[in-house]
Amino acid sequence: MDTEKPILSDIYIEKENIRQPVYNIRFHGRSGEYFKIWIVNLFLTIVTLGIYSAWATVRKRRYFYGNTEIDNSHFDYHARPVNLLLSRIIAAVFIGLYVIASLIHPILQITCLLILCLLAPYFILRSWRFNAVMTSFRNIRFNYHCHFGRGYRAILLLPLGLLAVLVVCVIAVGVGVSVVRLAYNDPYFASSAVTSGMIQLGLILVGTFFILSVQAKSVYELFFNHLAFGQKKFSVQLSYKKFIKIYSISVLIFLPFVYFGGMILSRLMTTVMLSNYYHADIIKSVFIVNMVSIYLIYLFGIMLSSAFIRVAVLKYVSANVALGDMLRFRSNITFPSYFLLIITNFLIVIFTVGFGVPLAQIRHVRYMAEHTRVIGDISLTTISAHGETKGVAVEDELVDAFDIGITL
Amino acid sequence: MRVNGEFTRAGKATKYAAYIMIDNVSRKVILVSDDTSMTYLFSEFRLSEQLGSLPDSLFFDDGHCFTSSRGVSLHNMITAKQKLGSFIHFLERRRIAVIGAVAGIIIALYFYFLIAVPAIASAVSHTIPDDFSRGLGEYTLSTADQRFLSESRLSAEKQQMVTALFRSVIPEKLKNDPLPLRIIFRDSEQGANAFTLPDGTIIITDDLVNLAENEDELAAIFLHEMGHHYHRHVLRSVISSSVLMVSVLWLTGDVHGMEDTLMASGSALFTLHYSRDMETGADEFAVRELKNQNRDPENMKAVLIRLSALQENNSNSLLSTHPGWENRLKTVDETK
Repeated sequence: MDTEKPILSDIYIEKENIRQPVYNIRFHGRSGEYFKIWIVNLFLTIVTLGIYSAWATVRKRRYFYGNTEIDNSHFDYHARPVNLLLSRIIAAVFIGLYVIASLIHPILQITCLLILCLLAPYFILRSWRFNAVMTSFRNIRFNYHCHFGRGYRAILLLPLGLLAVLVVCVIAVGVGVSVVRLAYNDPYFASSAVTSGMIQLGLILVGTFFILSVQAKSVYELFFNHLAFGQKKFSVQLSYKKFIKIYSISVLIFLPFVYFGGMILSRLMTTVMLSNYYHADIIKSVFIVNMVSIYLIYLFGIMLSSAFIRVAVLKYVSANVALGDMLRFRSNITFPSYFLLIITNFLIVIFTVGFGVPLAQIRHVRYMAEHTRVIGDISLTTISAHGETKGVAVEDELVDAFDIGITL
Repeated sequence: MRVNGEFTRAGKATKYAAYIMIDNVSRKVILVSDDTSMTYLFSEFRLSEQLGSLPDSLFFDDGHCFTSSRGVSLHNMITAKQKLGSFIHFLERRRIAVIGAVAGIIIALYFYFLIAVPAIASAVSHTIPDDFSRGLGEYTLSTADQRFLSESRLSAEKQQMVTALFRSVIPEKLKNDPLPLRIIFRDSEQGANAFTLPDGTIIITDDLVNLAENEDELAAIFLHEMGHHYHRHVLRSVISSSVLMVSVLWLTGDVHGMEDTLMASGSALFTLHYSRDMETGADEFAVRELKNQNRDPENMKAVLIRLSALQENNSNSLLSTHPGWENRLKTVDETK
């Protein structure tokens, strides 16, 4: 990208160094204050059998948005709880239908799941739009322009297409090896079954991560390229190469955990098999300790590799997002400090039996805010509002109620 | 009263330093920014709801917006009507309200999961049509046959004998059940066990038939399973786990990741709790019916003791589907 237009990018860097002011994002939320809000929210939600959860969500979001400041101006969240309640009821009806379907017949359950999958991109885009329109900065609303064709392509068609290619490849390897065996008619070719199994397993692992990285790239572009602040559009240019690189490294991070977990598992299985063979008793506690340690190893590996993906993607995406030609963004979060945050938050939640959730949320948002910079002219003189919140008809409100809570 | 803050014009993002003068007598607000000054009636703006220590905003009907500086509450200065939101804001700042909320949450969850959910499941189970139970029973049997059950290896005479005994122990109150009881024999590599299906089918494994030393012990096993059918336990546990799933989803609609896992494992513990309650209920049913049929409940203890010797010692822990053996023996004694 940069190499295509060297002159322009030079000018830009110069501009950034000399004239562009840099703003820190400040977060004023305090865990003590938020704990009280959270606990009252939870209590009223339970007492009202979940109906209050819509009001609780609005209070929670208003607290976090309102306490996030750039240049002494804060964000705000304007959704009406009744709209959220409507969306909750719609979601509950869907879940209820799904549960009933799963009780009646497995085929009905699968049909239900398929319909939900087909509708998912629509719901996701509508909820992005809803939350963008309900969010404001200096009393100017954000906006999200839904392009359902692009949405279906990025969220559904692209990953499904790649998945189909992967399945065909895996089957082709199996068929290919069998054909080779038949052609040579070689009885000593038995090891080829193992080899093809290994190749297939490797293909599945690499292919899955490849699909995930391609999907992540297109979903981030789908989100930011149709997001706007007032009438000013956000834009982002991302490369597949970078995403594939990030996901490959995370696979490499995860591999040792797979290896160690697998080693313990195979040792344990051998012990169980031998003890069955000799009719010896295997001590139950040994079995449990082994299983728990395998689980912990995998959990730790997943946390480590997913934290890596999040840090790398966030740094990369925020460095490439721009609001028109006015604002650019930087994130200087680092993998060790972010991972430390995730682990300590996890321990806080576990050891407080859930009552530490508000503290964990505050810590997470504060960390994110403190590590993000906004570069550019924040006076925002050329920003003007879009009129899409005015004159909302009843049916629009119904559609706008799709707050399913999907976030990037 | 004069309050400093910042001001944005309708539809524009540029902010200006500004201040407002509040006049509670004539119910007016005068907004002054640079060289302009505007006057609004109290009815011409909306004041943002109080939340934590967030700065308050005035949203004027013409689209302008004024936000006070941090730490200055406009709610204390503008005497407008108090709304529900301010009551909740009042609660959110009181320590006593917080302590009350914690206690209330624990009591409400306890009541909901230990009393309300089983009651709902029991009530709903009576409204489920029998055809549904039949379908579910057939489906469960065919899956179990595929997974871990195989043809019984008991002789035909033995099977006939046991079936005759089974018919003779069916209690009076189950004789006219719309879902009639029937017994089927299967072999299972998992050892001695018996299952009740929603349609009244009771599966007994060869090992369990062989484990019983006399008729009364077999009768005790049958009556335990019939107790499950009498109380419609299978249907109730299907319903209560669905209710649990939906309520956890409903309550945690806004949390992700680790909190979800925590709630899911919590609800799994409750499912196991219901399961243990049902086993105790079935045991009580069996002991009462044994006495009605003039059989000695000691036989039930004998077969329980023999079963416990076969399996690893399961203590009465939170993580088991059945109560501990000692507790089950105690139940037998107490019901006698």
